[in-house]
Amino acid sequence: MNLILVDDDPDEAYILKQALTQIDEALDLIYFESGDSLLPAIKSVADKKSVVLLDLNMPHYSGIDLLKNIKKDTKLNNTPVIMYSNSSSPQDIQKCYDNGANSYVKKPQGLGDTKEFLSVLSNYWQRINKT
Amino acid sequence: MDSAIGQFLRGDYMPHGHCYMWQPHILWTHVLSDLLIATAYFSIPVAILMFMKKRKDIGYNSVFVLFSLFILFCGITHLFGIWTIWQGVYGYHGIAKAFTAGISIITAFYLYKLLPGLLKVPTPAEVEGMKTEIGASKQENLKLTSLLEKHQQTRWLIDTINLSLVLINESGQIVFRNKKFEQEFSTDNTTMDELLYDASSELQNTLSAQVQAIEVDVPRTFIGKVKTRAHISNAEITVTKKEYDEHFHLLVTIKDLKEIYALKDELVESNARFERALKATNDGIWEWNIHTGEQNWSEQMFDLVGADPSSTPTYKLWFDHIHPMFQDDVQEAVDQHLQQGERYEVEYLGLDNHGSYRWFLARGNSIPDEHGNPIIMAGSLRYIDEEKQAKRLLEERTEYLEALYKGSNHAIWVAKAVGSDFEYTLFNDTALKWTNTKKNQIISKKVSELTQFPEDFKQHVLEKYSECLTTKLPVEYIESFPFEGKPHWFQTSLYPIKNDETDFCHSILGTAVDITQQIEAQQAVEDNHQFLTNLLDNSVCGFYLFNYSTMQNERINKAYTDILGYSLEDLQSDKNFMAKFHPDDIQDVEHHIEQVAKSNLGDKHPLEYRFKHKDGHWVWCYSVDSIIEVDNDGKPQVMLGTFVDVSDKNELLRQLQQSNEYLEQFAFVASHDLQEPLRKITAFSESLQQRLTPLLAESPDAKYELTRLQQSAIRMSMMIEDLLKLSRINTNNLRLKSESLDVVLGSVFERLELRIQKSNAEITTANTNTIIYADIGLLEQLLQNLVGNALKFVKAGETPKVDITVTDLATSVEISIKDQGIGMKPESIKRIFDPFKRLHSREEFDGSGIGLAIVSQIVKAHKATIICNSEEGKGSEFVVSFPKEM
Repeated sequence: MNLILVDDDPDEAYILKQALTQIDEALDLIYFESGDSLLPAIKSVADKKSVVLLDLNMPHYSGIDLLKNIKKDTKLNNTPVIMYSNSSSPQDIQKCYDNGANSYVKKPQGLGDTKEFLSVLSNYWQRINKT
Repeated sequence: MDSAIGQFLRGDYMPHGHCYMWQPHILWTHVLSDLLIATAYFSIPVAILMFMKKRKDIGYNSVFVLFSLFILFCGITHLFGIWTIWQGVYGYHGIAKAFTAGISIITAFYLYKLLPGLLKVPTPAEVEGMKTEIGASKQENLKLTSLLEKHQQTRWLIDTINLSLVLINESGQIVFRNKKFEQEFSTDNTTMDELLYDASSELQNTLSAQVQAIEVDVPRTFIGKVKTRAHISNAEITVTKKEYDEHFHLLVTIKDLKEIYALKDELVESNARFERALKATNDGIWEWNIHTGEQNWSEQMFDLVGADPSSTPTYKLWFDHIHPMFQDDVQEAVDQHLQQGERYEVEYLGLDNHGSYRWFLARGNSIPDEHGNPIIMAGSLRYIDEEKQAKRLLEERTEYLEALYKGSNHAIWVAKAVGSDFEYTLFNDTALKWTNTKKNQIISKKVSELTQFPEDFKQHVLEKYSECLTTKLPVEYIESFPFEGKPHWFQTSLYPIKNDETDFCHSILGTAVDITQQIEAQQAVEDNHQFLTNLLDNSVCGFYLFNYSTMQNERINKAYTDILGYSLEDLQSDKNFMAKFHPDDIQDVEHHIEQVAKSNLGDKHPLEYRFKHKDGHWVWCYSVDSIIEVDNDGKPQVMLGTFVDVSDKNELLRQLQQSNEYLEQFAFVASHDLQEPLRKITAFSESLQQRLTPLLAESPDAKYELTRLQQSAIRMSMMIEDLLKLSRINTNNLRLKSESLDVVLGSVFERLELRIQKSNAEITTANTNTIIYADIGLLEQLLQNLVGNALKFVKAGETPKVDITVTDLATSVEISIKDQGIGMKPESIKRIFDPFKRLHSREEFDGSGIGLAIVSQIVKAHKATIICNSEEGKGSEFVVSFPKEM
């Protein structure tokens, strides 16, 4: 399963990669630094089952804008989008769900929490969730 | 001489008493007899002389005189005889006898000389015969004279009588006619034929036809026309046949009936007049024979009483029409008249011909017999209902006017024009009181004569009265007159009193009412109005009255002009008032005006909007509007608005909002962006720790340092999280709803589950099924922080004990969270709600130091209150009180 991360901070991708190495999950991390070229890129990899992790707070394209575009696209609108942010503001959360986010996750604190998050994510979207 | 005459006249001769030997019985017999003889002899001559005087016809006076003297001297001689009984004066006695003798001789001589004449005087029998003869002749004479007088009287009677009278003999000749006949007919006619010729043919025929048939001594009377010298007239002719000396005579009397006929005509005319009068009058006329009870009524009488004209009029018929209530009075009036002769006049209610009760007046009088008892009573019945009503109306009107005049609290007076002055003829009590005048000081006084009115007031009064009089129109004005030392105001009206026919105005009627109170009230209103105007103008608030019907301001104050620059004229002349509102606010303003219009009287509606100043800049106004006047249909008429210039406040507010927005944004961005590096510190230090596990095992210091690094990062992350929460708490963002505290606390305990289990805490709750109205998320946060603190601040080695008690009050819900922990010093309590305020070191008690600040902020946002009771070493109690409504 593709795990597509969109985040302006490459460290996030590094931390996720570190965590992935320490757990035994069939997740291929694909990282985009911005949403500018995201849609065509996603489409190119979309033949494989994917989950998008979308940061909220980004320059140019904000996470909300990207979410809207994904959810508008008839090819992509079935792809689960998990909002991935440091914000725990109820307003932000509500806004994401209002625009079609499938889930909202506050970025985990520390490596251990990150590993746990990835295991749960993989477990849910690869085994439990039926498509 | 002495010797002879003296001897003769001596008185000393022997008294004759001696002869009687002074025997008293002889002596006094002589004396008394002589005295009586003397008295008789003295009285006889008097009688003779009286006879002589009375019967002069007899003559022979000398004989009577001589007889008188002779008897007189006889008496004197007898007196001397008495004297000589006691005095011997025989000489004087003899002289007296001598005189007597002389007179006696003369008398005798004379008597003889007259004897032949005396013998010729007739004897009494002869005189009686002569007397009878003369009496018979005299009577004959008297009889004749009397007959003559009677005849003359008869003649006079016949001439004077107002009848033409004529006596006709058998051959038709007039043998006698009286003066009246001569005057009326003729003096020349001597025969009956001629009389008949001259008389009317009717008389002629009558006479000739009847003369033979007439019975003697039975007068026949008939009426016929006769022709007199002057005219033909009706006459009553009486013919009487009389037999004289075996001849018949006819006595014809002709009585002119002209006057009788005239009288009759007059009577007929008078009767007709009476009939006409009867018919003309509306009064019913009646006559009542008291003895027989018979009554006569005029037609009108039947009509008035409502009786059938063909019915027999009776007392009962009339009496029955009287109202039972008046029957006794009427009967009494009738009785009083009949018995005591009192005037019969009575008013009563009786049935009219329509069967309804009306007022009647009955009047009458009666004719009495010689004993004064009434025999006939007659009178009239009059319908007086209209009069009565008119009278009653008049009385009522008079009473009203009187009451008005006397009882009115208006001054009322009448003044009569006298030249250019006016004289008061009426002045009622109120007028007297107000002018402090007595009746005699004003009635019949001229205005110019009054001393109690000031000069200028009199002048003013005269002017007004004259104006009313000359214009003949009512005049109204307000005047002032001092009363009880204080100026009083009167509303005075003058009315001209005119003669209806001539339109001449002779007097004026004045009325005045004291309007001092109104004037004072008006003054007070004006003062008050001025006061309010001043108050409004000096107010810092702008003020306007907006009229819904004109959709314009009808009044503004000075502050309005000061704040917005417009005068009332500016506003009213502006056709597009609404354009002065800011385009962004105009919708709100229109909506607001509609809302105000729909609201109740006096409801206050605030609004903020921008309004264009006369200079062109925008002014923020905070206005409160309400309807203060509605029309009869409840439609709003006038809106009152007050406003203040809130441009400064709004600018500040705007800046504050902006600053707050920046701050929020900053807090968000800061905390968000600050989280990034912290996460990395945490993540990378963990990663580092894993990679360096073997090395770290060799260096405990390095391991400690790395652990501190990680812990610091975690705490900082916690602080940032709490700060974020704090910045988000805002009244405007509350999501209020009602929820049972059981549910809220359940969620709180779930979050704290780990710590509760770890600390082995004892938590008791009471009354937690109470419903609370709040932002549930924030309430959970608040409770979590407070309960969390109670779990945290425990004495070393003790298990935490927390009591949560809910109290449902009338307007609020109180939640008390009480622990038995370390407590606080009283001076510390007020600082605990400040952010980042820590009472303890981090080593003692972990935490961001923002927990209670968040609690405090949540309390504020809910307009709730929080109280902290605490005693060091004994524990703390936090009581939060949430209002039931916000």
